[in-house]
Amino acid sequence: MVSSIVNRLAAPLQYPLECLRRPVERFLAKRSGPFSGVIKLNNSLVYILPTRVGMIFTILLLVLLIGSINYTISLGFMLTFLLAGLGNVAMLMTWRNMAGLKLKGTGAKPVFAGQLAKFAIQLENETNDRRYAISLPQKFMPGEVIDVPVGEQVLLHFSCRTQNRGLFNPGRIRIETEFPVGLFVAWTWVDLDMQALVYPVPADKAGAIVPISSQSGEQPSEAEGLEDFAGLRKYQTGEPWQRISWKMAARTDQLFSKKFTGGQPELEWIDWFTLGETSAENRLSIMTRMILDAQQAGRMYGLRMPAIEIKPDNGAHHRHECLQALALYKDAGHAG
Amino acid sequence: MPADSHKLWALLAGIMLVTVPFFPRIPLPVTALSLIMALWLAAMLLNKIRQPDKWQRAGLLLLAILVMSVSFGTLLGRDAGTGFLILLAFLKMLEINGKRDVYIVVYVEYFLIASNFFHTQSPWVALYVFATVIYLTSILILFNDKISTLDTRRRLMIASRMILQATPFMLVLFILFPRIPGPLWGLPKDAQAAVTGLSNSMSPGSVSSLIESEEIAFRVRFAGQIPPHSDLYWRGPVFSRYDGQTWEADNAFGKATANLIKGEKGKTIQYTVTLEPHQRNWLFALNYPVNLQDSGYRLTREVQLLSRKKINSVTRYSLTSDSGIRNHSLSGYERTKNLWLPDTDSLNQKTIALARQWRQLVGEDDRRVIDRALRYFNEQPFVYTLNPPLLGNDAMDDFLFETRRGFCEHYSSAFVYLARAAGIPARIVTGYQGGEKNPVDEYLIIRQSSAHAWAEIWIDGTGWQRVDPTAAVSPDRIESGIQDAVAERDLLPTILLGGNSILLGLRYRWDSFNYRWDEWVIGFNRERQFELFKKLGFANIDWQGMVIGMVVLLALVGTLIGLWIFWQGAGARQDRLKQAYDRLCQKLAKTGISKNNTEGPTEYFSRMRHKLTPASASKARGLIQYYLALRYGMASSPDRQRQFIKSVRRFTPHLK
Repeated sequence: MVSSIVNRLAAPLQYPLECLRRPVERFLAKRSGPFSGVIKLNNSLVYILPTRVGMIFTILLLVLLIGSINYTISLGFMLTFLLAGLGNVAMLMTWRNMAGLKLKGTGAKPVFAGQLAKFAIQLENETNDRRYAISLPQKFMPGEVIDVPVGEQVLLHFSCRTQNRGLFNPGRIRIETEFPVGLFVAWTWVDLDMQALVYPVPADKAGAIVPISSQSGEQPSEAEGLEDFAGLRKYQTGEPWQRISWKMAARTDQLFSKKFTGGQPELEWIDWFTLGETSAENRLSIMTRMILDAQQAGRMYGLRMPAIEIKPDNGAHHRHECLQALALYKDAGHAG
Repeated sequence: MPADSHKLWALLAGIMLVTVPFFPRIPLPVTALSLIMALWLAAMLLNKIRQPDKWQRAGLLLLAILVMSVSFGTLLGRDAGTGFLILLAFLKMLEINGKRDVYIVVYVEYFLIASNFFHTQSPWVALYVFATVIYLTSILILFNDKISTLDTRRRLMIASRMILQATPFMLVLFILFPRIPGPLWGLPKDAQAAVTGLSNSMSPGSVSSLIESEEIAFRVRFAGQIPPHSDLYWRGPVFSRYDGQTWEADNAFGKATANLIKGEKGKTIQYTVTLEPHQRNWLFALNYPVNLQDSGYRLTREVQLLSRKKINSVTRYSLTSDSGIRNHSLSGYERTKNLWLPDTDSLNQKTIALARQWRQLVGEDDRRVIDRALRYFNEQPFVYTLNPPLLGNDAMDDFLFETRRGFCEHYSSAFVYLARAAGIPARIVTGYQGGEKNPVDEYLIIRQSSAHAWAEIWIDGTGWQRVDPTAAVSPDRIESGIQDAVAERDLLPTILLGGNSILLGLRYRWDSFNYRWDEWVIGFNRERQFELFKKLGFANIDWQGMVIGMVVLLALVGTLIGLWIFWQGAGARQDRLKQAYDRLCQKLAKTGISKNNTEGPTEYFSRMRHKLTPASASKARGLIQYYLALRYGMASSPDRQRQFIKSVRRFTPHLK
């Protein structure tokens, strides 16, 4: 009840601040990066403004001052001026809590479109003052708050919801602090040149997959199959580990993979051009699904798309290479 | 609940710290409701009770308003406003729901701290303000230290340092901020605390009730010697209207001035009075102040010194009084007024008869009538006492012929009554008599206990003349002070009674400090501001200059505090271990082989050891191993570091 009254009284205070904040930030944005590598927060990169409670604090001081004048209370002046001094000190300390930190953006792991890209900013404190309660504003998840102890490097994590495939850049990041007393907020607003690779959304398992022509295009000279054991060959990175001959490994200290012939060939080409009539994004989605399935099944698969061909293989790196090709595919001006 | 309970405990401690000083002064129901809400919060934090829901809170608010209207009848005004703020703060505590609520509580607490100043502005209160502001700041830190790194001690340390850094800002603003004389608008009726002091009327008991008060009315510093006790009649309100019970001032004269004439050669006395606020317009002066043209004060027709505004803050004024001045103002109207007695046909017949009898005995000479009256007081068994019996309708008859026990108001009013009955214009003057010398600092303390009432009579050719009938009854009262004059010493303020001399010395020192506090802190106003600048050599400073000075000094202080805040962290604290190691290397460089920048301690040592004597070499190796252990080993501790630093300081390499 009380709070709602105060709320209503305090609400207009918030808006001028907000109105002020946006253009100021737009103006300041010009000097905010992007910075790759380590950036030290010097004077021109740390901004400070009163918070909402800080504005109310100013009004409190004015009322105390007027009261002291009206009633001619000397100690009232003293209290008012002491609190005004406290406000000043708070401003300097809040600014100090942010200034001089070193920031470095770290890359995020690739995600599929629509998933959360998880970033981390490394804050390094080379000064002799601990930095307290530094946070990202709530619009980033999960609103982590950290301290940066003297001489240490601490990671400040945050996640962003991705939407489209390609390279995702979270843009300028606002890192802020209200320590020690919350009357001021000091922040920096820098583009740390952070990127996350966003793979296309995989298509649904059922329905969307178009049959693959396994015979299309170039074939390896020796047809490999899965059914008939045809001897051993030296294991090559990227081959599915299920095919390693553990007996031989135990005997010789070297890895051999079993070679099979005959049966259905486990080699497949995931081919842009065989997917029939559909949009480019759809194709990418379907191909993503196919890559995931082939990888999971341990099959050898290759990727063929406009201007790109990746030789069949299997493994985490290969998977990433294929998905990256899909993620970064640029439609050369044609409507897919 | 969003905030952790330990944070709310701290907030509860804060609100108690701020409100407890009010509890003895505010009505009991307000205190009771506050404590109930405090207990509710405590129970809530111990998980015994839930946080009150919307309806319970609305109920509490209604209850608070009810308690307020029962106790005060209003929500406005100084006392009611304070009471309501206290209740609102506790109510807010029960519905804390995030950061903003915490700030509202803290801000209300700032107001409550300020409300204390209506009551007192002693140095203790100033200390209390600092302590409380430090604690409230530590609460704000608590709520902003989001991952709770800091313990209470560290929080209080940070808060104390912040307040220490805020103090220079405060001093600059306090001294240089332009002091606009208040009030800016009308003050509420109860704007100022009820104060003890003389009132604008006098009836039996009104002066003697002040005697028990140790409170200070004013302090006086004289330019020269302090005059003798018996000359110190501090003239205050003058009363000439009497209704049978009460003496009151006659306000018929408006702005008419007194007819003051320089009589025989008298002494001039210069002195400065620092008057405590008493919410009245009158000031106190010795007979009679002169040269008031520039002071802003004026003398009434009855020679009362008046200020235009009520004295609601400590006021300092300098006066010159000339004891040779005579007051010759008596118009026909005044003569009538100062002879008038109520109901002379029925009241106090015995008194009137006595006065007429004296007149018949001594004839025309007024002075001889006065002498008779004073002799009467002196010879009859009158007792000077703080506990006089009650008087009836014929108050003068009762007092003069029956009880004969009274205080100065009894004697002065009986005397004036007798004089008037005998046809001599007479009136009552109230004020203070005497004063207590502070031996530490050579000034005079005038406490409420020095309140006094005396008489003034008109003698043709001489003018108004002071007569103090109390002196006839109890000469000690006038010669040395109240403490030697009354029987009921246990009713007097203990400070008047002397006793332990060390304690008394401390008390005088404390009073001397309070005097300066009153003059320079509490009484710091526009006049003092300019006076200070004059003392500092800026005699011609004006407002603009003062404001410019303030801005410049604030910028300077801001820069210095900023540098302090920034440099305390910016590597100002060097690595002491490294310093000691560097010093060791410097000492070893005397061998002629100095350390390369890229060289580790061991490599350097092996390169230069052949230059040292075996004893020196083994000492140096010991130190280098010690350094490595401290730097890279697990066994480092501040004590060992200190020991290493000490050993390095003692070490001197000897060359082969």
